[in-house]
Amino acid sequence: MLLNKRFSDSQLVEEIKAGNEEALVSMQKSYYAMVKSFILKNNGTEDEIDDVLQDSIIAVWRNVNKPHFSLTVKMSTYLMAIVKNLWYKQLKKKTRFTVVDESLQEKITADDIKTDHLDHRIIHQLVAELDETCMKLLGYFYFDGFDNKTIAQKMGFANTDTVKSKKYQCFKRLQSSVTTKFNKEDFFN
Amino acid sequence: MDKQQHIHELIDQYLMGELVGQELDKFKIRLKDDPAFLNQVQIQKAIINSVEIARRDELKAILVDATKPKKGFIIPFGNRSLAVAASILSLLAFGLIIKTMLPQGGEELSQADKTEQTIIKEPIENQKPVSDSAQVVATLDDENQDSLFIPPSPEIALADVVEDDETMDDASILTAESDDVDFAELKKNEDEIDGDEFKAQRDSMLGSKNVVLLAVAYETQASEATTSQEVKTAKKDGLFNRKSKEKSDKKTEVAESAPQKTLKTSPSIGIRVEFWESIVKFKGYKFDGKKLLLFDTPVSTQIGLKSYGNTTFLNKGGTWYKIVPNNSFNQMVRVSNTEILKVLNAK
Repeated sequence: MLLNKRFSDSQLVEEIKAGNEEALVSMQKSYYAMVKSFILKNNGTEDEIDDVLQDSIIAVWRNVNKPHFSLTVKMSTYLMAIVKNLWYKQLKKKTRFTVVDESLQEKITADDIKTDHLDHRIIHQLVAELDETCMKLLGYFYFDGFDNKTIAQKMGFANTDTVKSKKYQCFKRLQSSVTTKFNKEDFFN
Repeated sequence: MDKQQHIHELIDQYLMGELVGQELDKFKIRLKDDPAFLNQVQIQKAIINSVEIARRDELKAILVDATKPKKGFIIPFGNRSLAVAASILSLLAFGLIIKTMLPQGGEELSQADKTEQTIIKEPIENQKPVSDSAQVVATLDDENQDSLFIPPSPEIALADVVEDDETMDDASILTAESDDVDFAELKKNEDEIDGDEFKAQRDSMLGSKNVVLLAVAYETQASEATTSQEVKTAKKDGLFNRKSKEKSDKKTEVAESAPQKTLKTSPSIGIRVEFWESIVKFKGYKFDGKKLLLFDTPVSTQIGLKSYGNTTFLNKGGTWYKIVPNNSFNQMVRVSNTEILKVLNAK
């Protein structure tokens, strides 16, 4: 039922804050035509519409969950601003023939911590092997930016302390797998 | 909260740019002075990056799935009665089409067939063409029932029921009782439909995870060619290369003349594995090269993926299966070749 529902702007923000992923699908349906028109008018093709729209919606999802977020314009205007930014970046990349992995440049701001010497594929593999609870918990915390209360509600934990300790356990387990996989001297430049 | 957990949270705050003031200064000093601490921060950062990528892929998969056409169908009627009436009218139309396609008159039926028909009375002499569906319903009578010689099915039985009564309108269709059709049962099923829409039952996804496909290959190495220069290069390489190079370095001392074949495993691409429950109890898989759908496999099952040569293999609960990326529904084919099993089980 929810899949067919159209949310108002304030409802969308509420649903995203509550971690309702159906809100993403609703946005995709509502704004597809608008994004399509923009991409096609700006040297894009049909194949590129979905990708840009989906990346933009995910960016909205993350931004809404940031602590001091407040929507001061219409959601469509806000989304289009992100779409335009992403699209112009993509066009730039196209003309320069360079490929940059945006995923590695998202939330973490500590640029002075270099991890290039680590084999990220191994870490991706270990993360992928995590059990579903840990995977969801760490994703909610680090990617979605949900607070511990929201995570407790979504995952059925008793309280925020349970979230904290469970998150630490998950991370510790992952960290110990990573350290045993790597030879210790890899970590020094 | 123990000390390690406190440090973990402090690193989290630093990586997210939430550490300020004196705490930040202290943190930076410790990063410079304590290599083990720097090491811990680096690992934490790399892990968080990987978690973020995995979650982003998961959300994207939800959006991608939403753009795909649905497997089931939704009858576009807000009103249940309208939906049922439309179904019956469709069946009527179907019956009419069948009727017009079949040979007219009972004379073309064999005598044996005729005797099996309980409703046949006598052949029609002068069959009149019909102009519209309303007329068809009105003109159908016991005499031309014999031309409706089609295998018995619930649909046809329904059509027959309606055709039996010349004056039946939509309301009476819905309330009519017959020996052939249990309308009470039909009504009961209709009552079970909840809400404004009728949704067909469909397969449901129970969970998903991302699994890295490991590429397994034999690598030929000429041991005497492993010069000290190559060993130096090897030290600059990542973890995977180092271990194999170290092995070959040791072999240099033995100075074997024949080339050595070593089995090498390296991660290639990430595969999204989805666990589905099939309404028809299908037990198998569907694989398009990037996404693997497993049917009737519990989410908790240990899953591994390896490729060897041009073939992909799935390890499901300790057993290896060959999987084909043809994007079709396939049955699981167990690997029985001992040579392949040896390669797949090699660490």
